[in-house]
Amino acid sequence: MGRFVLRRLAFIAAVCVAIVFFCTFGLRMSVNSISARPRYDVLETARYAAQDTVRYFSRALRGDLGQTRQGTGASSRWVPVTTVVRDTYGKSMGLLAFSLFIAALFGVVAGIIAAVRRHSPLAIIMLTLTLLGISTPSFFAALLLQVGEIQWLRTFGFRLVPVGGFGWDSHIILPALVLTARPLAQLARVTYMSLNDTLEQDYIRTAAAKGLSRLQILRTHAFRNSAVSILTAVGVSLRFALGSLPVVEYYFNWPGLGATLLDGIRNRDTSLVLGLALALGLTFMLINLALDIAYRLIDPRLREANMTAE
Amino acid sequence: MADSYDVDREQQIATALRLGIAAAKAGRRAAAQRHLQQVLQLDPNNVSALLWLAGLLTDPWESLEYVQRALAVEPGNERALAALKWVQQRLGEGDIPPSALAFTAAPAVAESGKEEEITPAPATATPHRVPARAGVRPARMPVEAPRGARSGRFAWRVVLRNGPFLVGLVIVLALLFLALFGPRLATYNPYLTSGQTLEMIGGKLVGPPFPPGEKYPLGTDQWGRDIYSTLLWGARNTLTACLFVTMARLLIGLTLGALAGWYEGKLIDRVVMGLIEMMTSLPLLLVGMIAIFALDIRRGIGVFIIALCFVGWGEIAQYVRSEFMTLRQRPFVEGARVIGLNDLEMIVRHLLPNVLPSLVVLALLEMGAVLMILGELGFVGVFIGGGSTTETLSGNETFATIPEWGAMLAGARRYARSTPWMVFYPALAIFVSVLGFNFLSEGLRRIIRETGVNTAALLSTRMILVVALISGVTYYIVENVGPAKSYANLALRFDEERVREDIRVLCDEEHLDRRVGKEGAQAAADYIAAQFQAAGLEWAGKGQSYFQPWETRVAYPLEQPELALLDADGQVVTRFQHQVDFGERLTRHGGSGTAQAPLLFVGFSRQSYDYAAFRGLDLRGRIVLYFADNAPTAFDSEALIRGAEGILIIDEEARAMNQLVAGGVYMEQPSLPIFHITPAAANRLLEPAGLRVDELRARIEKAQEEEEEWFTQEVDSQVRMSLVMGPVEEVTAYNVLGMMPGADVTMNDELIIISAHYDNLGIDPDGTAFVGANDNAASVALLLEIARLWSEQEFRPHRSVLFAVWAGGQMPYSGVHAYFDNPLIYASSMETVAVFQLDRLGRGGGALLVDGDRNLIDLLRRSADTVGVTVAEEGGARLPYQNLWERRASTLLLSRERPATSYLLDDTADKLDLVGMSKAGQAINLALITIGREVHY
Repeated sequence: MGRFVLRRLAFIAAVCVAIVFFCTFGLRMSVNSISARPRYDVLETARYAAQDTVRYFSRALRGDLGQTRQGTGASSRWVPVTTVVRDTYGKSMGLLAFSLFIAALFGVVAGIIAAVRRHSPLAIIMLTLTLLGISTPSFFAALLLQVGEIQWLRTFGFRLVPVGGFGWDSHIILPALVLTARPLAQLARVTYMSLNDTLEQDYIRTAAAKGLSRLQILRTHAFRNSAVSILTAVGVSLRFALGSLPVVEYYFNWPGLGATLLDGIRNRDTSLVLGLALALGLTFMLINLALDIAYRLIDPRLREANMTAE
Repeated sequence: MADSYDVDREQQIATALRLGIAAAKAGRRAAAQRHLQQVLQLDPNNVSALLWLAGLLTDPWESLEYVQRALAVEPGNERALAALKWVQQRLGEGDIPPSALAFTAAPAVAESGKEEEITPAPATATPHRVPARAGVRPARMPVEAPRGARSGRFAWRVVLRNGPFLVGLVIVLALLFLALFGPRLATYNPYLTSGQTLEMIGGKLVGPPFPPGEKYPLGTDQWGRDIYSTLLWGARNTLTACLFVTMARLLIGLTLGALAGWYEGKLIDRVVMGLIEMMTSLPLLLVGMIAIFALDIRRGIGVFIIALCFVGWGEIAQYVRSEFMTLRQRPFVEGARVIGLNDLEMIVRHLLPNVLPSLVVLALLEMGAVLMILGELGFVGVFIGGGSTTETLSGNETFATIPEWGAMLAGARRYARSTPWMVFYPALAIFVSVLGFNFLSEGLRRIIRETGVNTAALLSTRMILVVALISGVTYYIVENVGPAKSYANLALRFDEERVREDIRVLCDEEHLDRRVGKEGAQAAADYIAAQFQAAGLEWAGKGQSYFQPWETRVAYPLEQPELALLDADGQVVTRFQHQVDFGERLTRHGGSGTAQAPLLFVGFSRQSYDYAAFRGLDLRGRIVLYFADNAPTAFDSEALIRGAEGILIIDEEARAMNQLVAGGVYMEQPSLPIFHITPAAANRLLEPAGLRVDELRARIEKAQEEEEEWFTQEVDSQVRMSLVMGPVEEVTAYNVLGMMPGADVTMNDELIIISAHYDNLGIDPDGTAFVGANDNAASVALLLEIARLWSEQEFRPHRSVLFAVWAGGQMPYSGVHAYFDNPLIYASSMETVAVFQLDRLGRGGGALLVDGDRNLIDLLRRSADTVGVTVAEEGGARLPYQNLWERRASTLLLSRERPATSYLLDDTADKLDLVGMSKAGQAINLALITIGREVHY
């Protein structure tokens, strides 16, 4: 297990280098292509990007992620990227954690209910809904919610929730709803499918024959067996949610990582992009690592299989 | 021998049967079926094999057939009777295994239990578990028994009960239809930015965006472009991009996934997996955005395809890899290796067919995913082409120039609250499409699972058909899509009737004499200006008008100029045609006068001489003949001084030049008739003396070799020249200039000039009319037509385009000279990047003759290819101002007729080839549209 974690950590470090290189290279290329007469060819750009990468890490390891310019016009000033990352990181992760929590809670519960009632129309309705949920682009959900909210305001004269902006109160509801939609659908689907599979097994029938209550069977026999697939689905959901994060933040004016990163890319602000991208990438990879470890703790078969594979 | 043969056969049967049963028990259907079929080939009446096969088949009708065959061999066989009951039960249940979920998502796992019930081997009645993998079934062996209508009906029922499949299929077919025919259904042109348009809505005059209403069913965007039409047009661009990204991802994912799976654990596997993990560590949206910017968003659709397939192939690769890892351990791979197939053959012939059906499912899912990412990118302002920037009251604003769904979402954050229709419909379109692809994928997965699609057949016939269909559709779309192609839709129009009308007007009585200073020229200028006005061009002349007036001095003959060859008695042998064979020149001493004298040819070996060098040259009583390109400048003055009666200059262009350039006022100076004559006319003059132009040329070369200063050659021909000029007139000529200002602030200080001259040779004193329908009314009409087409389609170029029609284009000091000598206000602040010079486009062969700047020629060549016009790189006639252009900007000279003078007399409107002209016009229009829009052309 220790070796496994070490190897993963080494790989994560390598990916960080790759992220920095890709971002510097991409941004250098794009600056190059904006100018009327490109100054460097691809190889030259790659060489400079490699130099930048080395320089960046030598400074980053000393805690210096560079500076970025914030604000517009006369009031703009230089701010350390670390400050920006700190500010935006909390806001994004709070939103993300909240959304995923909601998604996990409702998704898994919905999946369980549908699996238990898998012979009723409820399951069909649920599955159709999840397919709809997975197919809904985040921007469409955002638009629908906002338009709905405005319609509400026009009809009843008061707002249910704010339609944009930042705040750890009702402001979070609309962005979180949008961010929740796809993970929730995904989790409900996976929970349903894997539980459905488990509930068809002989040992469940045996357990029922033994006289265990439905709840007991679910808790002790069925759910634990489905846990790995559900955890995997959480990982996938995290990817979905992270993918929609910039869009949602941008649209609802949520001053988080994603929206700031979008601005950074658009302004070709390399140090800002690097800081934020690293923060985002590291978070994602570390959570995945945690999930990987969790699978092994839950499922002894996996532990063994991986031990031998390692 | 016979015995041993039989033993062999028995052994083979036994082995095959054992293998088959073992495979069936292990759940390897394909292998089992193959072995059992082998048994039946050797022994068609083997009851065990028949019954095992019956148990393995998914189609109950086929099973029934095998059971009946077994019963025919052994009517009382108990196992066969049991099997019959089982099959009948299956048939009774309906064709589809009963499922509580008519609409399940991916319950491959869930239904594996049901499969157990339907696939027990009746011989042993011990249920075996078929390892169910999401959607993939081992290949089924083709069965000899006729299938026919029964199995067809079977498949149809599966399809018809499949809700998601049907819904998805309808949506996807609708999308295909839109991609193919969407633009034809559109009611407005989505390229149009009718920003100025105001509409009366509810009694109030309002500007765009207009809400949905009668005129615009889904409203318009902030520039007044119809949302409904843009959606229809956008379907093609968006879905093409989507299709290409998906195909590229499939290709990359399949290749890398197959390699990784086949060489599991080896270096390549680790590299591929590492790459996938790296790619997934950052959200695709951000990686894609950086990649798109890096490749330069302005390059259009290709950048998106490359950027999005470069980062998104991971999922497919992972799937293929895991499939290959399992398939690799199957016995049939072992078998294939034994018969000596190499890795590649094994992968292509045995592994790929097993993965393909699921790949179709995955591809559809990918389509949805790509569409979603395109939408998200558009939503945050990254869309195909990147749009262009324009100046508005509220600062610079970017707007999309290529109709595309993602681009339509670009203004979402700003407009969603106040004018939701602008972004709601495109978002809905993307949602419905994603839903369609996902549903279809889901449905297809179920069909594959339920029927166990015969992958061998898939590979051979159906697959080829599908691939052919997809390629065909793709080809069509590619041919008709893309920035250049979508411009082609704008350019592939040309109203021959309107062009005919222009030419008719310019050549009618009133406009017949379009020489500088004549009434007809004035009328023609007015007519052209009126057309500019109608086309909505802005004034680009002096003051608030289309006209740029300039002064010049001209003199026209009062009597018909005469040039004739006489015989010894002074009788006219040959009379030459004014303008065609010869024309007068008023430079320096050219002017009125009559001369009748023998010819004397003068040849030179240098370009410049001092006065003393002509010592001994006696031209008294002679008409001097020399080559225009051979004589030193101002030799006509020298000839006058040395007593010449008249001068004939052999020149390619022999038309009259009636302009007096600075200093040359012939009335105040001694003058003599100076005519330019064509080489053909010169030959006829030389004929009585037994000489030819070539011989004279040869003589000059000889003189140059011998370093002879000059020489004279007596020509024994009597020639009469006569010219009576009218008074010198101070006249005003009018260039007609109309501007189409560029819509993009970053590009509109670059100027493109499309120009033609409108003067002709007018009417001779004897009444001969040189209509000049081809030279150059046709080119003017073509230019006007382009202006009209742009205005009709409300096409706005990004660079500014100047439509220039010059007065006095054929004069030594032309309208172009005047344009440069008295620059208009805008001209000094703009950089002229390209000049399209149109000349004699009404007649000639099929090819468009081009000459000039390399880049522009290439551009025109591409445009001409799209339209279907051939391009020949040879110069047409060079106009006097050509050098002036070429010193200042990239120039493209376009013509169709090779320079020839003989047609001048019959250059009338009815001789024009309007079909060829329309083709040429389309090519030129497309090139202009492209250069007007594209940053790089």
